[in-house]
Amino acid sequence: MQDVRIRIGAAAVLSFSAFVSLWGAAAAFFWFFIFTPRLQSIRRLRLVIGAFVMIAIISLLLQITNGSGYSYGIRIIVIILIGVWLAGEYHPGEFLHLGVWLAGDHLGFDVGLMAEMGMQSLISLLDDLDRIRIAYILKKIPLDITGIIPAGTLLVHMELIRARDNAELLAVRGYRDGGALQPGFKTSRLDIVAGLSVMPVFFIAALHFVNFLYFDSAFLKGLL
Amino acid sequence: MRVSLDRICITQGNFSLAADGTFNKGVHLVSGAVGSGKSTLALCLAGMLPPERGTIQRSGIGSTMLSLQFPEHHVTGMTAAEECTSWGCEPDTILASCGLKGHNKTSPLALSRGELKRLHLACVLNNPNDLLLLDEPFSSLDCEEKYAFCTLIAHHTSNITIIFTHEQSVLPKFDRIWEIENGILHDRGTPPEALKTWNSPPPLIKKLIAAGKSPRNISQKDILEAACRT
Amino acid sequence: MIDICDLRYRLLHIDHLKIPRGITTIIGPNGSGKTTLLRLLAGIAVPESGTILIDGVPPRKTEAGWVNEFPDRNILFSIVYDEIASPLRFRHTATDEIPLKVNAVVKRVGIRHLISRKVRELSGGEKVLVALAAALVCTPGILLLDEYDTHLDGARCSQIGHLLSASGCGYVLRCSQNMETAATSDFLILLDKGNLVHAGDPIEVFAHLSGTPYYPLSLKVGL
Repeated sequence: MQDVRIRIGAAAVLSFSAFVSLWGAAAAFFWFFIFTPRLQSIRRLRLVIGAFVMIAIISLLLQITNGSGYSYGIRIIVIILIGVWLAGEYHPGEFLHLGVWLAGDHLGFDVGLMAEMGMQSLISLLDDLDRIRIAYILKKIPLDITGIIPAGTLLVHMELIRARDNAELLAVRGYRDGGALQPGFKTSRLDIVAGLSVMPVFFIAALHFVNFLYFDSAFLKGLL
Repeated sequence: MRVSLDRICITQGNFSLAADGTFNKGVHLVSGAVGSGKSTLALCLAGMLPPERGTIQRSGIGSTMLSLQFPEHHVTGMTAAEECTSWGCEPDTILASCGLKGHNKTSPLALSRGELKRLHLACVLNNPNDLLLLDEPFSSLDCEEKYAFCTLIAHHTSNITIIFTHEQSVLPKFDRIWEIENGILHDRGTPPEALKTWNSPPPLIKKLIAAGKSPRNISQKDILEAACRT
Repeated sequence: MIDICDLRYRLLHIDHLKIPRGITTIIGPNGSGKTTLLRLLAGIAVPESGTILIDGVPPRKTEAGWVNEFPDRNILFSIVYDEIASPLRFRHTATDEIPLKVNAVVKRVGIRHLISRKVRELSGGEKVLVALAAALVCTPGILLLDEYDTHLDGARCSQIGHLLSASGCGYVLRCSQNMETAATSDFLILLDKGNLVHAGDPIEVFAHLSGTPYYPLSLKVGL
């Protein structure tokens, strides 16, 4: 999906829909299946295996304690899937354009710049992780559970150094407050179709959420 | 003791490198422009990057060490002492040898670029390795440190040392010169004959050859000796 | 003229130094204060005491271009175009002027073919050229390069050397460990342990360094 405005908007609506209702999650998953390069997204899921493990544990606990764990687990997994798709569709520089389009040359540019630099940091973090792994291999040190804290400390230290370098580079390049940018977006017909298709997902989720509020919610019944 | 590359080909995206030849005991120079594939070849020789085609045969190579261009890419310790220990070295001896006495508790990433590079090279050269691969060991060193490094390398005669570098001024003597050009590793041979077939020697060596005073090797001493010849 | 007077900053200690227009190279061992001096001239750091004036103006009020030693530390954005346009954007330059200025500088530096590429995928030499373009795009009054040549090959160093000569910047100050490069400068500064040791014409400065590792081999061999 080329247009970042439609993509972020779609992801927000789909995530909200998946969160509020199981039917919303199902509809969001159906949308994901139709409109995204799902194989690529699934390949990227290995990056969030840790999150899945955590969700599985929480879902199990919830199911045992109050019986809604499976619903929770399914809804959160769909949200993660949408997040992985969103991250995979990122094109460098687009957050800056989105920020300025949304909120202008000052606040919008600053927020967009923060988002871009955040993405750069994430990419650099993955590069640093790789380098640390290679360093351990070269020194023939097994990278096991005892190596996590030193490796993590190194990663943080490297990020701090990078943040300092970036701050200096921003200052010397004249950054003070905001910046000038003419936002530009590429919007294809598929983007528009996919964007509009998010609305039925939202309505399905909203219907079931309202149904839950008025007919199933013990809390609301108590209030009324 | 040797490493033989049998028609290997390494591909990364649009880039490819073909290499064929044998590295015997001694100090080898692999030269080439930035982006020519020196680091890629170093990774391949270290066994970190398998070639797409061809084979690498190692004979008499019990241990291999690769030193990457940027020393911070090697850091695993939270202090300089831990970093020395991670290389299997005794911290006090190593830190004293590279002018970092008293820096045991300093974070390696808090050291200056020269200090970290010196520490790194001291650790790498402290351990005997049959195959030693040094990727841009001169970068981040000052002139004195470069001379000191050349002196250290001169004593590494019992193994295969391959130095991948684009350094132009301060170099040690080499037993063999290789050059990566247009995606191919060329064996230019042994100095002084190698200097005639070397397409991109350092500018001073080029000038000396043009003046009919080809040096015997490429260390500063050899260049001075050649320049003084009548 | 760059006027440095009673400068104190950490280990750096310079009583008086006048740097003329042109290309100046700062040499000295690691830890001698070369990078610190460049950072003070760029306005990244501020002296603890003393003054630095560039044509009568403090560094933070002067347009400065900066190129870090490490190619990967000169990158803010992913795409080459965004990287080079960033100084213009930060200065709120009119949006229709930005593409014109970026195109002019990439043509000058010879990297038009890289404009849509990702900076991370470039070679070390190409990254330095991108950083140089970003430094030159706002036509700075002072251009500062911190050992940019340590990760570059001879041909690329030579290319950048020509670009620096033709940059149009009044002051180009670079640190280098390549004494052959230093020998081609208009002005040479030698620092050691934070102190100014010699400053002046390269031939005069190198005359004091005969017999040291800092004496250019080209002068030794007379070529």
